[in-house]
Amino acid sequence: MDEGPILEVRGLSKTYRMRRSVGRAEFVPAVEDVSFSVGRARTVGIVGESGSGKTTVARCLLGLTEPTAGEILLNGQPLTGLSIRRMRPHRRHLQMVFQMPHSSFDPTHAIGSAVRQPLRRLRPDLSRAEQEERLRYVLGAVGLAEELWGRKPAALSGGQLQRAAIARALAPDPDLVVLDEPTSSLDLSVRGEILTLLQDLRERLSAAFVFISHDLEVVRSCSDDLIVMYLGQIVEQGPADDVFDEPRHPYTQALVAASRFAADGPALAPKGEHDPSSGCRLSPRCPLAEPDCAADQSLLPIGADRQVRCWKAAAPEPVTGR
Amino acid sequence: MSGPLLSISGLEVAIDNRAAPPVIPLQGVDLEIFPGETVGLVGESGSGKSMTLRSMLRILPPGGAVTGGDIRWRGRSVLDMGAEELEAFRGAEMAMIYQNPAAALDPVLTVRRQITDAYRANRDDPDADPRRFAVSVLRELEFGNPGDILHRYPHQLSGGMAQRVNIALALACGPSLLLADEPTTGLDMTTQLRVLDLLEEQVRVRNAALLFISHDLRAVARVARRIGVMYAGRIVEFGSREELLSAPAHPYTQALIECMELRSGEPPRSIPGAVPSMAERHLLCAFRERCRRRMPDCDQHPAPSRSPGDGRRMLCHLGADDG
Repeated sequence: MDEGPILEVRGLSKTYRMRRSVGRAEFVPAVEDVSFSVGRARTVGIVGESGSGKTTVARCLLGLTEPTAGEILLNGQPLTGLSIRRMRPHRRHLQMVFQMPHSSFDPTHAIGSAVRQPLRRLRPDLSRAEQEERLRYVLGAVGLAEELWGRKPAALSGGQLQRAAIARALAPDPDLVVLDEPTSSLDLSVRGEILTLLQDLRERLSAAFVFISHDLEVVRSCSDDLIVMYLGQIVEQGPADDVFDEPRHPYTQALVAASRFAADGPALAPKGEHDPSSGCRLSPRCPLAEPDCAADQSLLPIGADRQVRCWKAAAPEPVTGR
Repeated sequence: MSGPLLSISGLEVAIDNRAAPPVIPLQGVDLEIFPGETVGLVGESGSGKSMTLRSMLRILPPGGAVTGGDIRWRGRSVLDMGAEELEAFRGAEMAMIYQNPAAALDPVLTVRRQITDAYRANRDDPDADPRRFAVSVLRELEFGNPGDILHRYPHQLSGGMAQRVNIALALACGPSLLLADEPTTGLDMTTQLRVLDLLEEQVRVRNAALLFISHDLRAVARVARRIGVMYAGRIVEFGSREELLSAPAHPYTQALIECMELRSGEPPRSIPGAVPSMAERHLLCAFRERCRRRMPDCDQHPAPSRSPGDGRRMLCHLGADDG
């Protein structure tokens, strides 16, 4: 049977209202017109720097922030505009792994009981015995040795604790797992373990994964598809290896160069004080900018499965900054 | 040839936090820095790289003390300096750039006040013009409108701007050696590279030396010509960046470089096991439990210090017989 995507996001936008001075409101678009979908056992990576809107996308997916416009569908059912009560049955399907494992666990609870909690809360349909069986299964699946289950978070290393956080997210058997910078607080010598575990879990479980990070190389290593965001907009999206190996948008090219600590990317000017709210958002920093870039850019197709928000990069003979 | 600016030999630091047995974050650290050179230290959390910087400025955490070895600045022991001497030494001779740029600035003083204060406090020249210095250093650090930046408070700066102001602040002291503790870790990737290059350039044109520490070998290699790799409180390998990156000799350095490289189609690498407890002095190699080249000697004798090439040094039994 050909099944549809687990997660589908259509035209997601989120605008925050900021009060600058008495009586005057300013509207800050954090996310603008973001669309993508994630299939079963697939991972979509979202990469962007601070202010790119990647965390706002994650918050909307999990129902922590109400989008201003657009739709989020989980298994074809809309998640947006639901009351708290009607959102409840979906909660078990929406799970998250945070950046800082040490601050995402209650220091007074043993690891095993922290992972048991979401099972008790979100899976009342399972008997106690079934819940315990599931607990043992997820803790085993993330490779956490049994002697650690009874310990408090302080007694675990960052890598072990991040395994526990992944187990906790997987415990209620969710359809969607959002990972927000899951490896950036870890030492390099254990980062590989967690990335390998995530690759392995993707193959074994039927969930869809959204992997968010500022580090393009890390995102690429465990994603099927890649979304590059800049100031709230998707600037490039497509299969992860294609985007990484042959970046088309000047911003993606700069990110690829930066992730290799090489100076062969386009020389972006430093970020200005005020972000542009129309036209190409990168144009004030972009060495290739022309008068035409002042017009609003739409995501243009390049090839069958890639899109880029830059008229120059989408041209038949793209001009690159490299 | 002139002697080293800084020479650290056999440095050991212990931190006594009373409740638990003392922690020994540094053991037998040797390091020399010559005028005008750029040196980097790379290591994971707990490797002792920050503690090395802090012992040099004598700003160890509470309960921390140097329990062995010596730190010499132009031949004079930093450990013997009295309070007054230390005050004159910090900033003017050695200035530090911290990891968290926002926290390192005084929130209630303008950028101008902070830079000019640092400048005045560390220079004797009565003709010096602190404001002119502030404008020119900010311009060199790529602020388009330095006059505007001078009137700002720290909360009106972005992360990348705040870190460049911190660099200006350290340069205002006119130090012979600049210490940088993960100065670009919190910055965006595309900003990080630019700030590293500006730092390297400023140190070069001022003929100052730089000691740069980071967990990220790529950042260290971008600015430092000679690099030390730290593990569990010791420098396990030291050499030029070219040699260290292309032909790492110590098994830990080799494994760390493998972990750093994420290649398409290849599984990410990691180092099994964990860093050992620092509550004891490690006489034997602290990496041996995780080392894939472990041999019987590793469990019986301390790792010898040997030189696999000119200017290189490593602590390992590997190749000790034929070297």
